[in-house]
Amino acid sequence: MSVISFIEHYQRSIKKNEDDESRLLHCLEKLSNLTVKVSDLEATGIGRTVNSLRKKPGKVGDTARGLVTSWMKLVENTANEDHSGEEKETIEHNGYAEMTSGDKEMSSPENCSEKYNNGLGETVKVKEEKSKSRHSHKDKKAVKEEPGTRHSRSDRKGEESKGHESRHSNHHHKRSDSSHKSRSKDHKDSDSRSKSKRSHEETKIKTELEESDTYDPSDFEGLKIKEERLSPAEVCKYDPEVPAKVKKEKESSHKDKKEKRKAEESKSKHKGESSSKKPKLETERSSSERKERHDKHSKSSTTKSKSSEKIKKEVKKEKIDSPETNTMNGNAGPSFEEALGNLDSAPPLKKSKDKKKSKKDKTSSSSSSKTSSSTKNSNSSFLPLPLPRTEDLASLLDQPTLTYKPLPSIPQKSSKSQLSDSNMFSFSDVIKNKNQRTKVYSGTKSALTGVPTLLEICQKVLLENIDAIEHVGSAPFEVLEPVFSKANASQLLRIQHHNDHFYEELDDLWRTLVETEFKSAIKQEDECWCDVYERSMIERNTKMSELAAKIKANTEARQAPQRKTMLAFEHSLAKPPRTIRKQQIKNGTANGSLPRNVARPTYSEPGPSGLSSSKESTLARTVGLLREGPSTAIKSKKRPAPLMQKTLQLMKSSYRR
Amino acid sequence: MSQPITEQDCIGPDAEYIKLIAADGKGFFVKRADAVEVSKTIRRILDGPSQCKEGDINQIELSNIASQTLKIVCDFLGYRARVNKLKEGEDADDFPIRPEDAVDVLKAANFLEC
Repeated sequence: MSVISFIEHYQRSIKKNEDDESRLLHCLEKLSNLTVKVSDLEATGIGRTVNSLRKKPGKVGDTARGLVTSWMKLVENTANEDHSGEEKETIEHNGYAEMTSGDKEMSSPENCSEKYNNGLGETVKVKEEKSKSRHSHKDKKAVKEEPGTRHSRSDRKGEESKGHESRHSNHHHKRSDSSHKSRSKDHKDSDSRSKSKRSHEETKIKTELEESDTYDPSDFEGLKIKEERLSPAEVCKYDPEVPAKVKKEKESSHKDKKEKRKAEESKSKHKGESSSKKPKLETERSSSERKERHDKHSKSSTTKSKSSEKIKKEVKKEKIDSPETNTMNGNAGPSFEEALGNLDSAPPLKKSKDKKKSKKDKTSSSSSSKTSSSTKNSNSSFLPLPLPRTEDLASLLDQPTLTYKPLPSIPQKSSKSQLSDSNMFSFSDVIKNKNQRTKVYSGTKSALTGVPTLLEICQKVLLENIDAIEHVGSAPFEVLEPVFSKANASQLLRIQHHNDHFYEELDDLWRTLVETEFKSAIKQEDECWCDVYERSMIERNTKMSELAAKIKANTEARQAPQRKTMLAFEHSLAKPPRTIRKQQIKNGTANGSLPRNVARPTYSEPGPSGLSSSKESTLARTVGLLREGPSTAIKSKKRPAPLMQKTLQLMKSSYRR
Repeated sequence: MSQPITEQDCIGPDAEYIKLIAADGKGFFVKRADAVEVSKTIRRILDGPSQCKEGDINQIELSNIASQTLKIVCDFLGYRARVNKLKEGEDADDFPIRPEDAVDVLKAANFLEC
C-alpha cells in the first residue's frame, strides 16, 4: 500500500521536524493531497500526529485542523456508506413500535426534558432514538460484544442513525451521530490507533450516550454503552465485570440505543454537516447540560438515582475525554472527534441551539473536566470500568486519583471495654450493681486480680511489715518503691536511717510527703525535703502549743471564782449580840472602847495601805464612836413603838377619866 | 516417693529437669518446663546463645541468690506452674512468704523475673 508508506513517511517527517514550520506545512499539504482511506488513517495513526499539530500556531495549526476535519468527514462517510437501506427500514419500523413500549420509559424523562430549554430537546431526541434503536435491536444484539458484532452494531447504528435522521432532522443528532459514527468507524478498524482511539471514543461515546441516557429510564444504558465501546480485547475482560444488576435485556436495549445514537451521529456526519467537533461538543455540552439539569431537577425524574449514576458516568467519560484531548500524544491517541471537540473554541455552528449549547458546554466542559477527574474514579466504584489499555493508562495515570473512600470507622468499643475491665471499680460497674446485691469481699483489692508474681507477693509482704524494714541490701529501688511510697514519715525516716544509699530516691518520697501534709511549705536552699518536712513539722507543733496555751488561759479566766477568806467588820464597828447590847446600853458602854495599848490615830490620818492600816482605821472609827458613846446612850431612850404609844395614851386618857 | 532426681536427668537439651545452683553451691532441681514457663530470665538463659550439647547438664549458676532464698524461689516455680494449670473457677491458694525472707526473695524475684 503505497499510500500508507507515503503517510508514514510524512508522519515521520512531521515527528522529526516538529519545530520546523515550513517542513510541517509541506508535509500537511502533501497529506491533504493524498487520497487516503480510513483504513490507511488508522493503520498509520497519522490522525494522531496531525492532531498534535493542531495546537501549533499559525498556518500549521490551521492546516492541521483542516486536514483533521476532512479526514473525519471521510471517516463518517465511509461509516455511513456501509449501512444498508434495509436496516433503515427495519429500524424505522421497529423504532415506531418501540416508541410505544419505550414511551412509558421515556415519558418521565421526556417530561423532564421538556421542562428544560430547547437545547435539551435534541438530546432527548437523541435518547429517544437511542432507546428506539436499542429496542429494535434487542434481539439482534447479544450481551457480549465481539469485534464483528460490534462492527455490525456500529453499522446498524449508522443505518439506524440514518433512519432516525430521516425522522428527526437534527443537526445535533447528526453531529452526535457523526461523532458516534466516526467512532463506530474507528471501532470497525482494528488498528492500534483505532483501538486506542476506540477506547477513548468508547468512553466518549459512553459519556455522550450516558448523557442522553440520563433521561432514559434505566442506567443500564450506560453500562451497555460501555460494553459497546469495549475493544475486542477488552470484551472478555469487561463481560464478567458487568454488574449483576444489569439485566441482559436492558443491556441489549442499551446497546441498541447506543448503536442507534452512533448511527445517527455517523449519519449526521455523513450528511456533511459542520465539523465533527460539533457532535462532540454537542454531546459534551448536552452531557454537561444534562448533568446540570439533572443536578437541578433531580426530583422530577423517576430515574433520579439512575440519572445520578449516569451523570457520574458522563462525568467519568468526560474526564476520560479531557485527559485524552489534553494529552494529544501519539500514545494517548484521543480520537479525532474528541480532540477536536474539546480543543476547538469556536466551531462553526449552523443552528443557534448549537451556539447556546456550545457556550454552555464550554463553561460546563471545563467544570466537568475538572469534576470528571474526580468522578471518574468514583464512578469506578459504582460500576466496573473496562480496563483501560496501556495506552490509555498512560494518560489516565497522569491524572490524580481523587477517590475518597472513608476508612471504616475504627470501633471505639474495644478501648472502652478495656478501660472498664482494667479498672475494677469503674463507674459503670458501680452503677450496674446499683440495684443488684453487691458481693462484699474482704481483703485487699489485689485479691481479685490474677495470680500474683513472686515479686508482687514479696511487695505485699513488705507492705504489711514496713516497720520492720531495715537494711534492704542490693535490691533496686524500683522494686521497693511501691513499698516505700506507702510509708509515713516516721517509717520513712527509719528506712532512710538504715539505707543511706537510697537518699536521693527517698528524698523524692519526702517531697511527696511534704506536699501532702504541708501544702504551704516552701523548700529553702540547702535543705532537703526531709529537712523541710522536719521544719514544717516543728513549726506546726509550735503553733499548736501556742494556740493551746491561749485557749487555756481564756478558759481559766472564765472559770467560776474560788472560795475566799474575807475580814468581817473591816471598816465598821463590830456589832455585839442583842443581850450584850442591852447590857451595854444599861451600863453605858454601848459604843465600845478601844484597848489602851492601841494608838489612837486621828481621822485625818488615813493609814497606809495594807491590812495593818485597815485595822488602824477601824480602831479609829471605834474610838470616834466611843467618844460619842454616852451621849447617844443617854439620848437613846427606849421608846415604844408608835402604835404602842397610841394605845398607852388612850389608856392614860381613859384612866384619867 | 519416686527416685531422687539426679544430675543425669538434666543432661541434654531435652532434659526434664534443670539444676539451679545457689551462691553457696547448693543445687536445686526444678522441672525445666515449670522454670521456663514462670521465669523469663531462665527462659532466656536456656534459649540463649549458650550451646546445648548432648552431654551438657542443664544447670544455671545463680551466684547472687542464697540457697535459702533459692529454695523459696523453686517452691514458687512449682506453685505457679501448678496454679497456671488450674481451670477457671478454681481458687488458687496463697503462697506464703515470711517477712524475714521477703527482701531477699524480692531481689531474687526481680532478677529472675518471675
